[in-house]
Amino acid sequence: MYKFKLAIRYILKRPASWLAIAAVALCVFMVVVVMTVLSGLVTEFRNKNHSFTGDCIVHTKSLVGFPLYEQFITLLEKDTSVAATSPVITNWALMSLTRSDQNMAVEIMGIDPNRHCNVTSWGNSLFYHKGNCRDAFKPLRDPNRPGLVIGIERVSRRDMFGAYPHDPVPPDYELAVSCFPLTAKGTLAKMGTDLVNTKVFYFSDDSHTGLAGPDTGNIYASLDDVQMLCSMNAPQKRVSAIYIRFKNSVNINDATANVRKLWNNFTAQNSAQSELLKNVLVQSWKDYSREEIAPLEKEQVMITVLFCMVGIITIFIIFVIFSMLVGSKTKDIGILKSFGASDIDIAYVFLTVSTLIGALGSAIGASAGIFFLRNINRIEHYTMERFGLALWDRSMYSIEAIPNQLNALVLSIIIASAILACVAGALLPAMRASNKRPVEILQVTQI
Amino acid sequence: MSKYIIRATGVHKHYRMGSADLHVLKGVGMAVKPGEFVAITGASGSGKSTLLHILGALDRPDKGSVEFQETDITKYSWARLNKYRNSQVGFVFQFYHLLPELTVEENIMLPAMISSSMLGWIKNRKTIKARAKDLADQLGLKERLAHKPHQLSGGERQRVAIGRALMKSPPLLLADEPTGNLDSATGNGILEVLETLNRAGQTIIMVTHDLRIADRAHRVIRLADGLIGSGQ
Ligand SMILES: Nc1ncnc2c1ncn2[C@@H]1O[C@H](COP(=O)(O)OP(=O)(O)OP(=O)(O)O)[C@@H](O)[C@H]1O
Ligand SMILES: [Mg+2]
Repeated sequence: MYKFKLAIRYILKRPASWLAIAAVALCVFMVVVVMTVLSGLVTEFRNKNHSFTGDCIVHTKSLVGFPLYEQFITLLEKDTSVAATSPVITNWALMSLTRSDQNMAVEIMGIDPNRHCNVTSWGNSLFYHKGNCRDAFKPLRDPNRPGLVIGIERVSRRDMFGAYPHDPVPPDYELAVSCFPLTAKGTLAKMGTDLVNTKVFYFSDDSHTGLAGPDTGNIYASLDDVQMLCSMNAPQKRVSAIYIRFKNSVNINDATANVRKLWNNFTAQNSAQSELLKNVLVQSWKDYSREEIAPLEKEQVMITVLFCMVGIITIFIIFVIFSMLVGSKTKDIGILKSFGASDIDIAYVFLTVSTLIGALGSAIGASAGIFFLRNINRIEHYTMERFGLALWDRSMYSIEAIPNQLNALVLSIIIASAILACVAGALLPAMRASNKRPVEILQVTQI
Repeated sequence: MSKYIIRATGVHKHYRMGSADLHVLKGVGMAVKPGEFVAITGASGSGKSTLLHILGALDRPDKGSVEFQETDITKYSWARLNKYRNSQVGFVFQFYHLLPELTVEENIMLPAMISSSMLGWIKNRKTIKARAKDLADQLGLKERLAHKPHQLSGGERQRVAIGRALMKSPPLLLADEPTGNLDSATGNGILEVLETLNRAGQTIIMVTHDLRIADRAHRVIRLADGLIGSGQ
């Protein structure tokens, strides 16, 4: 009882305790804010990659693509784990405004919006066709013209708050897209003639996926058009990938392994028909986007390591403050022992002090952190308006708002580690305090 | 009923200061009966405090035994020693040694608080508080229960220390120069408190170098050259 009472009095009466609480609060605040924002960025980035790709992708890196995809899709759709599939062509193209002679290299994706929008949330990246993905390639001005969807960065620029301004009416661009068709062997298909296939499209929408790659470098047209442009429609129709969405209940890795097995059987049966089937990979969305996600995850690991050092600094601060506290309280220790307090009792008093300091400090730090995170976007808005200062580089992370979704698990880990750090820092001084012999202390303090 | 409440036999104590060896107690023997009021006197540095600390188990003798109610406390386990310090003896120091963060009431209750578990405290809180209040009344500290030690005079602080020593009604009260730090009038007040306690049956061993104070005890033990002086 007195242990608790004494512990509380020590905290209230000692400026050093307040200092310790402030130090803990500051560390916890910092860690909560940065970890939340960073893990939010990583999660957001992963989710964006996931929703761009679907759950699983059967694809080839070759520009020639692979045939027999509809047969395989028929097979896939019989599988109980598969919810939807979409054949996709990815290739290189040159795009130019017909009224100018400038052109730019882009990555063209050919998709069937009816199927693709069942697999990915690409439909949500559209502006003028939001919620109307099926008609993505029907320009609002004239739905009968062939439409082209363009990555947002090619069409619009972010304003200072990270948002893309849009005209209420879509612009009236006429765009020529040229592809370089390849034969199944990979040689230019139209050697000696025109070399390229060109088709004129009309701007129908822009796509804002939140992924820097597609938003700056991609254009999208209907699967049939792109197949034609790349001459992947003859002699056998070919595509570059099949995007797959699984049913919600299935485990993505298991289902991907299952698709891989199906694919291997399929190629074994059809290898005579095409060598191209051999270049095909079956990957989960995670493996497929590994290259993009890995650097960000590495950054997260690095920052976590840095914050472990913050934890070590907390331990050190607590250690110093507790050495001071024990030093100033040796007489009390002698008195308590003279009246029968055991070594454990004494250690308990100081460990209670440190636990309370840890709990109080992390409560304050976490509350401040939560408050700051709740208002982080408002604060950033203000600093940008006032000083033109952005906390996060929008071009790097391609985000609108700073993520501030608190993760309860991360928060409890941070608080638990803060308290643990306090106990660890106080352990040695507390043990030293408990080992003191009463007479020695009381004699020394008489002098 | 044992004949002696406490008996020391052949107690030796050395202090080593570097290479020098200070032989403070050289085989001290003494015994105190229940209800006695004994004064230990001697020159400064003669080892009075050392002896009292050994009797109170705040220190261990290098040689010899200390029997409390016929058990040798030098052979106690640490848990039993803590219990001995907590409830068998009450110690009063020359420099009061109160806990500055606690109130007068809490300082008096300290030994009871130390020996109670959390549950025990909740259960017995009322009795413990009543006992502390009772002691404060006896010691003239009625109005000061909520005060902190720094708000009290020296005499009042020493009375708080006596209250604390008596909290658990120990059979033996040990006082090391309880008046040493007080003016003679205040010191006299403290002595009267001790005499009243003794008349009520409290066994007291008191260290003092003031012979006039020692005179008020039933019996005086003189320490000289690390031994109990002759004629005792
Ligand atoms: N912890 C210690 N280390 C070394 N020497 C000590 C220690 N404690 C006491 N002494 C020495 O032992 C001797 C006896 O000390 P003690 O405090 O018992 O004397 P005392 O009779 O109480 O004196 P006083 O009347 O001044 O209080 C002194 O010479 C002192 O210097
Ligand atoms: Mg002394």
